[in-house]
Amino acid sequence: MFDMGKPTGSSASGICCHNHDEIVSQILSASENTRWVSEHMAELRQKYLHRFIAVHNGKIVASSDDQARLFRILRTKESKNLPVMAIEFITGENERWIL
Amino acid sequence: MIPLPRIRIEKMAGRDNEPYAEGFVSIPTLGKSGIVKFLIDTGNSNTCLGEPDVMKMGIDARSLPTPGFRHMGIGGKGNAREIEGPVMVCLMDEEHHLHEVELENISVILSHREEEHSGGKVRRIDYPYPSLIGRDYLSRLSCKLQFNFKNWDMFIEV
Repeated sequence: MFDMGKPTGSSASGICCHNHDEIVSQILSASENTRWVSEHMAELRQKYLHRFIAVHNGKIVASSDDQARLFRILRTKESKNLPVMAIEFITGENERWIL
Repeated sequence: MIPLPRIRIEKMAGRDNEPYAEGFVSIPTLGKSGIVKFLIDTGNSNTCLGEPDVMKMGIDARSLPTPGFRHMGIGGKGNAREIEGPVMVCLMDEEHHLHEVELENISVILSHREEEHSGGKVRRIDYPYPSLIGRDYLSRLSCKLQFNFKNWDMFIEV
């Protein structure tokens, strides 16, 4: 466990080279984007069924059927915000995850 | 008594209340890291990553080596690749502390590719699998899970 605002641990730790505050900030930002997708899933199904969408700050930044194409678009247009974007595949209401 | 740190499990309301937590993954051997939305899956033995989450980090999952073990699931044998560790997986508690587990390696479950033929056109669809927090992470944390579906009071107590 690491305290907020401090470097994230010893040199043996894989996250030592990352800034703790930055990780926390990114997790919080990504959470907001995921929450937005969750709250708008019904509307998203109408327009983006079986497509990947990338969401940031309540906006659809890009969408595609093809995951590789989506990331190509994002790396060209929106690479700065990519780490915190919600990337979601929009499934139908009659589809179930059985893992 | 001091309350134990709790990692909140959120719900994906639009997707049958899928229980998830946002986390952070670091792969020092590849020099890659990223934020990952993990489905909390106690039925899953090993924490793994979905292909889109790996692509988001800038890794071409399909060029990774095939693991030396099989991945079995409801759909049969999974199409997977492997990232050699150490791989650090963290979830964040309500006080913004990170809880890290170091894994020896991590599997990447490749998206299932299908083609739809309609009106002479072919549409390729990649059906992705979610990234999963498995029992390896949960047991290494020695945590306690609270799943209260009545009022969605769900936590990983560390």
